[in-house]
Amino acid sequence: MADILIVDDSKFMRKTIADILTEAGHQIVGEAENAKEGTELYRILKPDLVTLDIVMPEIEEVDAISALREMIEVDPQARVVMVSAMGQEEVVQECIQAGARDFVIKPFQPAYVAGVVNDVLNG
Amino acid sequence: MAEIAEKPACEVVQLINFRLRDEEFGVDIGSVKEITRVAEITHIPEAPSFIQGMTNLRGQVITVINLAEQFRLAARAELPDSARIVVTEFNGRTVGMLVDEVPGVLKIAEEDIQPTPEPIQREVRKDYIKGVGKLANRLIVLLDLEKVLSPHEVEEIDKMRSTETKGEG
Repeated sequence: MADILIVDDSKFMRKTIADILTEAGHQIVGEAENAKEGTELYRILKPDLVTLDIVMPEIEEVDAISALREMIEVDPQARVVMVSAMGQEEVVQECIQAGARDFVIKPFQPAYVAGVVNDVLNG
Repeated sequence: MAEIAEKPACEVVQLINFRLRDEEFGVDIGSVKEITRVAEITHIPEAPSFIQGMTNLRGQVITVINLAEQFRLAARAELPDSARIVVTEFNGRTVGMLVDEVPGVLKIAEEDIQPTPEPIQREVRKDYIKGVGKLANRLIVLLDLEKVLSPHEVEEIDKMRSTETKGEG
């Protein structure tokens, strides 16, 4: 069981991911609705893994990529999985170069998300 | 319906939720520096019972408070695997609070926070209880971490720390 932080501006998506990962035996320690809140919660909770939505409204100049970079600065071993929609390959690529461990593309199958998360946790 | 639409958006408080024995507590997220897994805790001989010991937080030695003892909750022979240390600041001192589990962050509407009911006030010294949060079928006791220790207890920590420092030097 791992402690997971979900960062997504969509309440529905947060719940979907939370349900999938809870079902897979993990504990959701926090949910953040924007990148800024995500980095704040990351610092406090130090979860085992973060799912980070790639496109979120920028709050105080913090977007998903800067949040990702900050998490990796806090912990170089941070495990961050990007959640993206189709057609965002370039940004996904940028995130992987910045240190994201993997990504999932919406819409996704629950088993796929749980599989990616487990692979990253075990990798 | 117009009245509802004009109602200002309800303030939401973000809390770190933790468990001690069968009770659920919440503290303002702003008062928490971080939450850490329990590494080795060094017991201090003759320390007051509310002090669990000292631990090394990335090179910084911090005092760990036995919060269950402080709240007079039942003692436990062993720490559960889920145990965590909630790290906070007391007027410039970094202190850890030992808890059984941290399920995570909760958001609760201010209107769902009520004054402390009488029975709880009798169980726990009331000045560090800010109220009780209602969340579905859960009741969460909201604490003011700054007030969990009395000024006298904070002095005890300082005294112990200065002894420790002298011992090291």
